[in-house]
Amino acid sequence: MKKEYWQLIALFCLVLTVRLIFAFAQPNFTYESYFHLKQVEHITQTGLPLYEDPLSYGGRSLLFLPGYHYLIAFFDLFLPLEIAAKIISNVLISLILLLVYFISKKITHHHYSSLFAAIFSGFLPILWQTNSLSPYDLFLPLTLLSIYFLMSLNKKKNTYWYIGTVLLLSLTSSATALLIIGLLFYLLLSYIEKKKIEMEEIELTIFSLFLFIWVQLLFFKEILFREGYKVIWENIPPQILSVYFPKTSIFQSLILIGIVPLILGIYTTYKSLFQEKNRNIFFLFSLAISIILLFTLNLVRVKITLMFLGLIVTIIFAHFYLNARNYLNRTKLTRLKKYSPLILILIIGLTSIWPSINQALSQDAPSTEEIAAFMWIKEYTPPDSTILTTLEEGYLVNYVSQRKNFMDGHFYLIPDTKKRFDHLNDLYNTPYQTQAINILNQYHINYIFFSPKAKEEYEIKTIGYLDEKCFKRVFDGTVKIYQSRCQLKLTNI
Amino acid sequence: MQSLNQKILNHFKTNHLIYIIILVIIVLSLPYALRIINHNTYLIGSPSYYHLNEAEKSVRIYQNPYHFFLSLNYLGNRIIYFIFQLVIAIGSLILLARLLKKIELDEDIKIIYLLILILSPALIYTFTIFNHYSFFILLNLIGFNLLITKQKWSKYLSLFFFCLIPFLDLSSGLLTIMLLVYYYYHHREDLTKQVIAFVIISLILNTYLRKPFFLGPYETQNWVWSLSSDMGSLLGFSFFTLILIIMGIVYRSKKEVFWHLVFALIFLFTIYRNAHWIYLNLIITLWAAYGLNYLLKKEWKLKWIQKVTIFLVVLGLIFSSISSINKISMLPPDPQIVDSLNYIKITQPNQTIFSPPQDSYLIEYFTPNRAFVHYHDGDFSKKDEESNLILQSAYIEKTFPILEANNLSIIYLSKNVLSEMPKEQGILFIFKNERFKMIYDKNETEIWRFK
Repeated sequence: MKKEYWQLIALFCLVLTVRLIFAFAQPNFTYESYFHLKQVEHITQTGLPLYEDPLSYGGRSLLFLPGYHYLIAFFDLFLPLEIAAKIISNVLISLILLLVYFISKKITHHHYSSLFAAIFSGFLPILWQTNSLSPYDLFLPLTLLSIYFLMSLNKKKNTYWYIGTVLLLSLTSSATALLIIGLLFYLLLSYIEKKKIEMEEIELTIFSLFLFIWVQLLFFKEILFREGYKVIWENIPPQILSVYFPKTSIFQSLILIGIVPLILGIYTTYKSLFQEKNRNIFFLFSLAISIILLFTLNLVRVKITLMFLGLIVTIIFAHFYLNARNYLNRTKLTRLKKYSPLILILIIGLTSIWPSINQALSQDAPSTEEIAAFMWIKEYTPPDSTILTTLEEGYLVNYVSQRKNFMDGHFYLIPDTKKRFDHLNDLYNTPYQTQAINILNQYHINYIFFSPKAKEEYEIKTIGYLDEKCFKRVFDGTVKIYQSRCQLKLTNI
Repeated sequence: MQSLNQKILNHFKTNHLIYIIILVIIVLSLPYALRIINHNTYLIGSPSYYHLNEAEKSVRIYQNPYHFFLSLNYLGNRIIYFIFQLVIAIGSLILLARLLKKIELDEDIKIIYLLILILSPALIYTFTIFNHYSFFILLNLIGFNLLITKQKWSKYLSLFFFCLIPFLDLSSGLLTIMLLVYYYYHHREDLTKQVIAFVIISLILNTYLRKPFFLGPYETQNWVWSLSSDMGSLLGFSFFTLILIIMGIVYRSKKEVFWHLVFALIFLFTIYRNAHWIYLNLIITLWAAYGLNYLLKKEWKLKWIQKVTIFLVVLGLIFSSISSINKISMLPPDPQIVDSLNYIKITQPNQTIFSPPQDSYLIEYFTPNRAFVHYHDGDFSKKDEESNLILQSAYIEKTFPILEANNLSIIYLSKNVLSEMPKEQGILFIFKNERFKMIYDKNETEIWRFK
């Protein structure tokens, strides 16, 4: 095998090993991962995802794409679930660096610039949630794979591989829309710029578009019918919408940036960028512009925007590095060239590796004490109990305690999430016992789970309305669990 | 020798009109068939009952030709009403096919256009729920079919049908004039000029008669929502059709300047009346046909992907139609609603009924009572505000004065309305007050008396 491939494999092994060390150093997963663990477990047991969940929100319909969950469920057949989940999710994310290398190599035909791009992508801080389980773990490598196949359509078999990856992507995440919109944008800009467009590219774009819409309609018909265009914002309560999406609305974005400067800005950017002769680079620029545009219009989540852009930028970096190197060759600064890898490694260490390790160390996951409290609920509370927790802890109530939660982070198809979220805040913040008991009765909540996370999130030390008469402390530790025992009754005065 | 596929295709092309008529009958009968399976034989949709109500009054042709046409079924027989709708639909499609042949539209495009049109949710809506738009389409198609022939008597006869259109509403008259101007621009016939002149006179006459510019609306107006049938609208386009339309527009971008203008005008209309998607549907489905034809005819490098893509598109169009048929079949009324309204008819015959506007037309059709608010009321926004206040306010100081001022003593809350209301809040909370008495509670429908 060539030396360059050994270097690449070594890099892959290094990144994967470091990731796995971090993943296994902490026993638990990040909060949302428990939703995915529950789905994987259900698939392993029944062969089907849990679309009618009796525990989330006290019983609700769930709609999501199950591709990722089936993949993890497959490995769950051979390994214990939590080990399989940690290994597979980290392997998938580590694979990204190989794909970035091959795409960069495709563009630059240069080993070291591609290797540097691979190192950047291997230590992209946003991807260093080593204890997180998310469909994006599969979505990102599949997207890169499909981009690679699109860039290699000269080999016929790559067409089939591309179709396979797009099908898998459509079954994994609705964020696949970003790839397809990027492709359409690429075709549009190529048409405007009078660049030559390969027939296969048009054909595969049309096919991908129809296939994607078809799959989404199959899975999300009900949500689309019920929530219409608002489906983009996932029924997230307005109070926390800005956490997931940028604060500005579509209209505001257009006003703040100005429609004319926005259009002219994009036009100027593409005019200057499109001097670029490399078709693949042009394609990546189109992808980046389309995602920035969607993000500006408040249509894409911040997290996926950063992940997607981060990867595109690392690939484009390879191209930039090669150009810079060639430029140095043509100047009197040739001596600088031999130091450039060293300088680059220093930069990577400071700007990527260090933040990535910090990110891995500060993952938002429940502590062992909190897990023990959830286990206690499973052991000692009646099976039909409803437990009040913070939004993120809701998943653990379902997975670890196997009890009903009051609320969690999946808002689709839930009526009036704004009011419910207000009630959740009231239950932690209000000093008035009658108000709290009224809400607890209304939602049939039996236990209040008061954890360090709740303290931190609501900036409180205790819950104001708790007293011995109506709220019995049934679990005491860093986490406190209170049983609600009072009922509010209307009386004639 | 011809292959079997080719033979089938040729047979279909030769006899396409027969197959299209069969398809129309199947598609438009399906919502009723589904209702019958659910033991519901009532005509579909609340807006239908506005028109049926008007038709039951002794209406003259100059007041509203559509209501006059409906009033011919003076017995109010539901099967005859259904047949009326079916006849309008089949008649319109035959006339449309004939017109497209006369203007020498490519045979394949024509067949694709008619097929997409029949499967479009907007067309299914137009010809299952009673509305004057279906009649506008029929009158225009009869008119143009007569105008395009060579016989003079036929051209003069078209005058009658064109002149009837402004009697529906002024916007329909305006659209007809635009279409006639386009026809004149291409054919330069003096007779057409005369026809245009007469339609303008008819339009002026109707303006003098204070006919509304837009008739209706009879439903909630939400422009963004109405854009796509896959997002719950009964009128919009499916995602697949929208993509085909874009492909068609790109393909035909420089060839249809006039149609772009008509498109723009109707598009503006849709902002005020969502139902104008019905007209838009007729025009831009043609672009979708061009789009699909491009997919079918263009030589693809990846042949099997072309086949799979076309298969996906066809499945998508059918899927969207089935969803639409299913949704339409579940529209009110049903026997339970009619039961509750019969109760009002028997026990409270002279009262004004309070209900949200979506049930008003049903109340007025099935009972002798008058409803408080209608979508087409001139002061709808004021009444709607009051109606929302009654439904949502938990304070008797706000609710009681409105009920008293409008002399509203009966409150009718159907199961659809109740299912969307938060429990124990708004008026449901106020019902605890002693001035309210529940007089009907059956099949999730509630009727309350206010003293």
